[in-house]
Amino acid sequence: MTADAFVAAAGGNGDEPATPDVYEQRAFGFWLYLMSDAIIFSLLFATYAVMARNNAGGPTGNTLFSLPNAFAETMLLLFSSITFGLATLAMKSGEKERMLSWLLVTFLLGLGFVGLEIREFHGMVRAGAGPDRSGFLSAFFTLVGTHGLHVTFGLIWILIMTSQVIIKGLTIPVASRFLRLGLFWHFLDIIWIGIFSIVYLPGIL
Amino acid sequence: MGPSPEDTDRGPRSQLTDIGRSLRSHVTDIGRSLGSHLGRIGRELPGQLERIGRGLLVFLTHIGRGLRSAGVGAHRSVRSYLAGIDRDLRPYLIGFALALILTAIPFALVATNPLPKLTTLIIIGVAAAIQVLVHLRYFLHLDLTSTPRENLVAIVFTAILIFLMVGGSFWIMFDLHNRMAM
Amino acid sequence: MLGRLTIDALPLYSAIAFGGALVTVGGALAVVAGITWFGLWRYLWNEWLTSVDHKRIGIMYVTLAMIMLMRGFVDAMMMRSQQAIALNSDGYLPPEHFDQIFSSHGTIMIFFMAMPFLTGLINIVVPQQIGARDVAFPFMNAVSLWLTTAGAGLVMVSLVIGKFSTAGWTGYPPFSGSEYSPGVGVDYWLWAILIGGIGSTLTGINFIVTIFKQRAPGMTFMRMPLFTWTALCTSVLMTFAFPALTVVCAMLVLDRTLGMHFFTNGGGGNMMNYPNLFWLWGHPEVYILILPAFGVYSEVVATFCGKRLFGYTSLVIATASIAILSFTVWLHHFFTMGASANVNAFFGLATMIIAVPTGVKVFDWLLTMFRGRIIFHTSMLWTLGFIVTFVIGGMTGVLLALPPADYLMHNTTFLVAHFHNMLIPGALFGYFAGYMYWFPKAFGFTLNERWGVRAFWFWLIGFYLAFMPLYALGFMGMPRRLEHYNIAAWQPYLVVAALGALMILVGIGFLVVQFIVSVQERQQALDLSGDPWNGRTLEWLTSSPPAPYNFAVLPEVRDIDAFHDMKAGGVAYRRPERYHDITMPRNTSAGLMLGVLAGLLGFAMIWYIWWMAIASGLCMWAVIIARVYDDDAEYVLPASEIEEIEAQRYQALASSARTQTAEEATFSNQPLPESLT
Repeated sequence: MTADAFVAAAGGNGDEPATPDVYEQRAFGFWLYLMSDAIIFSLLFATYAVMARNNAGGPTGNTLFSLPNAFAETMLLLFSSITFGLATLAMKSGEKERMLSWLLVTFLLGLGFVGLEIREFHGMVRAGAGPDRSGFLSAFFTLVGTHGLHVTFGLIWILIMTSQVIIKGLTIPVASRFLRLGLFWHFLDIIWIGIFSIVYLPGIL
Repeated sequence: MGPSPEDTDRGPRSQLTDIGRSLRSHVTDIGRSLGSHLGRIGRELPGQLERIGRGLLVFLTHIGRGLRSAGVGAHRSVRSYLAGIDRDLRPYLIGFALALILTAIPFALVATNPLPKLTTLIIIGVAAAIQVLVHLRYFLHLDLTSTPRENLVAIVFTAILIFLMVGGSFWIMFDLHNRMAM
Repeated sequence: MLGRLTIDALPLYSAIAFGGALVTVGGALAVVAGITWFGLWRYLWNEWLTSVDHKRIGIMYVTLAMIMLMRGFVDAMMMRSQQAIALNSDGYLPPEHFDQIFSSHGTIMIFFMAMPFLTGLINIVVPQQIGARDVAFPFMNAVSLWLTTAGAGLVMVSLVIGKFSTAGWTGYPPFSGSEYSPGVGVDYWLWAILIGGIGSTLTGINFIVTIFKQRAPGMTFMRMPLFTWTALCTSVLMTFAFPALTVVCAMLVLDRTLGMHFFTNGGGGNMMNYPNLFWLWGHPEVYILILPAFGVYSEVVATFCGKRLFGYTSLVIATASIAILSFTVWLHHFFTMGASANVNAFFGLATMIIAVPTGVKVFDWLLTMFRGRIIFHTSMLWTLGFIVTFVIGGMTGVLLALPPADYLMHNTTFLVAHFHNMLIPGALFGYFAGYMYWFPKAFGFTLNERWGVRAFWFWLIGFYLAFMPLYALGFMGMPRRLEHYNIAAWQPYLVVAALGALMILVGIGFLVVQFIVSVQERQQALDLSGDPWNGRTLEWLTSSPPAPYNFAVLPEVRDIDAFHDMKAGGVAYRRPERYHDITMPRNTSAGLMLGVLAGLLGFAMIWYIWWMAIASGLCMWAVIIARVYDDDAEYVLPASEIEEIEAQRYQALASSARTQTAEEATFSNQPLPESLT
């Protein structure tokens, strides 16, 4: 979509003088950051896989993980990806209110995810299965916790985007930032696929 | 280009000079032809790799399409419903449906546990891999035509690196484990 | 209130430690006093500390590198002198202090000398070489600089408050875990490299995007200068390798601070995963260090032999192969950790294979020199010294790549000699060559040749004296990192090594003298044309120093060695009919603030001052978010002002004799471009 068409569709006043190239660069740069993040997660996954049996006589995934909880978290994140997509579509057709509504839904779904995860972690720590109990648990908490931290940063970013859309409207820089947030959000859902496939499901089996 | 018959009478120094000269021209020739060979390889290699990669992705897309049409074909009402939906919305709905299925299967298998463990694990893995591709295609709109080339290069490179790093780490750590039970 | 920070953290337990702290604090105070005395704070703030100009950032990087070179070298001198005298004696350094010294030596030289040096050169040169006005993300560039500085700052602070790590620059657990290193030392090490590492990752991303997206019209990938190619491959390595360092350091932090069990000697820890993850980063890291140096050598050889580089395509392919293969060899750093023969063999083979592209590059450089008209500028001397010496080190590397051989030589001084042989003649000589080659571009006057030559010879001979004995000692069985020993046969070699270190010290001194003399004599060595060496690449098209926007009109590229091509075609210095406004990024203090806050965060995490950690973390967030809302991040440089700047540039060009000083009569400089044979 060209910059002009974008601005026209958004009904904004296109105050920023930056050239379209800049946004392409930012998108590419952000994509590269996501690739480096993918490496971080893959190494966390590798460490988890290496340490999955190192429970030091303590609790294993079998006793700790809850299938319904993992399923709920998965659904929350998957639905939030869809609602984010709907927000993106609303933005592309310039419908500010609809976009903000879907963004709010996304935020709530993500908040639900983080809430469930905090509750899970809290329960595990209280049951004596905190990250300092065994190597397996250290790896678990770090992998899943890093993902949860990323989601939390995403939630903060959603808040920032919401305020920017309200204050500045659907300008090109705002839209460009929003698309990058979309990349981030979908990326996190992809990582979650890995988490439930490598951590929760095999752990429960 | 060795020394000519008349040169056999000349002193060792001039013979050496001749040898040196011929060596030099040999090296230059080799270097030049090596350079042009490498240059040609360098020019052709990206195109060939691209062709292979493109072929792979087309193959996968065909499989994906086949799966999708198989699923959709079984629900014609769904298909006609989709046809009436905004084009931009379609990928999200398709992706959503596929993701749901690819999530439901592993979870259901673990919940009911009807199959041997290894089989279940393999299915989980395959479903996950496919779902990742679904996310990339339908949510991130990654495809061979509209995505900038450098983004595709970046993700392929990352995939290769992850394979090397994670695969290598597994090989090393499990080898050490077997030798030391660490 | 102050976590575990108490008055005991001050180095009052040892005269040497106290002396080190005194020098550090004294040095810092002297700098502050000097700036105040000369009334330079406003200038420094406006022109440098808040700058987002890649050229200024690059200069600051190199400055940091030079300062840390001194600090790291003091460590080296202390180690060499200790080992020279410590036969059957304790020497003058107690073991714990010696351990801190070799740990900080490695950490400083790699993270806070070599990385800033190469990043600085890349920053100054690459945007100009590709005909761009700036990097893709100028603000992020500044953030990278200040994060790196914060890391270096933490290491320096460890001299004054607390101690440094005694676990080596690699920090292997369980020794680096909280059970065996309960103090703050390892934490200083971890936070310094974590923070600096983020800076490097961001730099990698920045330059990949810059090189992909900001090239001048007509500059295809296969027309880029070799230094840009190596910068691209280096940036790829930075982006994809540093995540591994972030992961492994974060895990060790979690082990030490939150009692987790990643690498502990019990509780399900897996200590062997540490070397695995560490060297997953560590091996690409050494290629990050060497590739820019290779790029410098390519540029220097081409310029000072007056010829196009031989085998451009092979050089590019070799560089790319090195970059990719560097991710396949990391186990060779821990052959002796006990993997089976198959695993060792695979990585040993891969290690030998990776030597091949480097060999290709050496031949390409030699063949460039063949039939060239060589000018022995100091940069060329560094290059020649590199070629001869590096090949020796490379061969010892292939020797070490054999797992059975490595079992004998792992962690001996043979290994120490090998990697210094790679890093000093390989990387450091390259950085020095780049420093002397591009100095006029950065500052507008050339460096004094005489002192440069002297510095080179003392460095080269000093290197041989300092490290060749270490090869022999390795064969004789001497382990690395020894604080004292009882084998008399070793001492003569160590004394020679200490003498070598002294020679290098003189070499460093001569570099300092060179700088001072050059500054004093700069009016006689002005680079008015911007092209003091009859260069071939686009950075020589700009003025020296360049205008903030580098190019008023973006050059159009038709061939490799674009500038040489333009000069030959007579179009190099064409004045445009009119100038256009240029949008430039505004200076900002946000980068500096993020660096300072990151340093405070690291310090707080080290000393368990939780309120300070949370506060600095939140402030960092606030700065970032404020930056996101900043709409005023750019300003427009009007065409009229550009016209004035360019007019001055053309005036200087017209008045420049291409031959600047009597010494440079040896350069084949001509007032008009001509094709070279």
